[in-house]
Amino acid sequence: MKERYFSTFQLFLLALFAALIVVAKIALHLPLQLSGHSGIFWMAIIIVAARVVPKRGAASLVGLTSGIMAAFLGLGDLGGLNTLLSYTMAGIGADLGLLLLRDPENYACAMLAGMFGHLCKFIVKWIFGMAAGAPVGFVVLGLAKALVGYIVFGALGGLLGALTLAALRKAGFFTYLLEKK
Amino acid sequence: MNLNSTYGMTHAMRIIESSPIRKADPRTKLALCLCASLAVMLPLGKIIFFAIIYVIFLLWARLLPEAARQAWKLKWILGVLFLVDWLVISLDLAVVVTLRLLLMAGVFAMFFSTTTPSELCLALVWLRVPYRYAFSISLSFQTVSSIDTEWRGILEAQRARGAFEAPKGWRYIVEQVRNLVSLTVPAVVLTARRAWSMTEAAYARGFESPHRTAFNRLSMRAIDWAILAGAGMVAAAIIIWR
Repeated sequence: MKERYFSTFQLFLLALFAALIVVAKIALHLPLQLSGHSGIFWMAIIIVAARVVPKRGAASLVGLTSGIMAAFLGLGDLGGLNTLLSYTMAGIGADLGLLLLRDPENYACAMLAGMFGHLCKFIVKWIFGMAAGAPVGFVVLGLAKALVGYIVFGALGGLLGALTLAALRKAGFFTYLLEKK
Repeated sequence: MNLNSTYGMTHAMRIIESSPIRKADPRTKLALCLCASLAVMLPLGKIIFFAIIYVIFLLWARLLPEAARQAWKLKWILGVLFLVDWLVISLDLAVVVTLRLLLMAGVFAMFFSTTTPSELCLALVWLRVPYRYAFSISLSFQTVSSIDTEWRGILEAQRARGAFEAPKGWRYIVEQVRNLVSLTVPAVVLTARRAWSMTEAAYARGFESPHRTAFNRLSMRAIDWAILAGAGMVAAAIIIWR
């Protein structure tokens, strides 16, 4: 049989991680009054997915699938297209970050990858503002406060991802995964 | 149709069964949404013309309340942007920017509120996306309700044990993030177990079979051709109009 890039188990696992992102986004409300705070869980799950399925494109696939789900469930303020693109870009950003930084179990690497992924989501919002023809100054002023939130929560999400991976390793999760392909 | 019972979540999918375009082919709707989203590049006169046609179309398709709901979410951004643009630059720019944002926000509501995930899956397969990938997307929709239940269970269990407390502010934020591991670890483990059970079930039902045939197929109907012809005429009118 033809060798597949992602095995069926990996594909299903990534799809379920995407569902987990959407569920966490809906069910968990942290009382932190700054935009982008849901990125803590979001980026954490993406970082975990990138390590659990250690192949290029795993984080992007999780981002794309969760984007499609979020668009169908009507999440996000700027409509389905923005939701789809921003979730997808968060995954692609994390993938690119990990391509350069390599080790998602390293706290610093995970934080940087999380921050980069979350920033990519922010860039989609910025591009939407620009595409609408709004003057650059207004867009920058309007999104400046949000930018800080996106950087901080992206980094915290990456940290949470690395902490989760460390706990999973300690619990023998990766040995369990070796039996499943 | 409210898929609350299927997805069992606080954020239910809102599929509008009464809409005439509910029966249209998902490929037609996707093409229509992509064409409509190109309208953001139009200048003032043409974008107003397009917006009027688009509102008439939404009225006919019984999707105006859905589009209005989407626009309502943007009320503050639109209001502030309109006022600032008007006061600082010009009314023309304020109108163009507002209309473009409204279009970008609302244009895909037409697709997402009249298409089910399984129809999307068929459209993706038609677009040459490998069946395994398209299936995994529909799988994520089917499992979202069980994952939601699981997630809430973990949340309650960890709260009861005193192992999780939602971050309350910015003090000791790193320590607070450390507490969140009590949620993510069981969620990841349970998700992996579920994925493995599903893989076994899928193999048992011949998921990777080379001779798979589709139960449902997409077909273009009269309404699809009519919608595409209408969209073509509007596009031609916008291009020809000077």
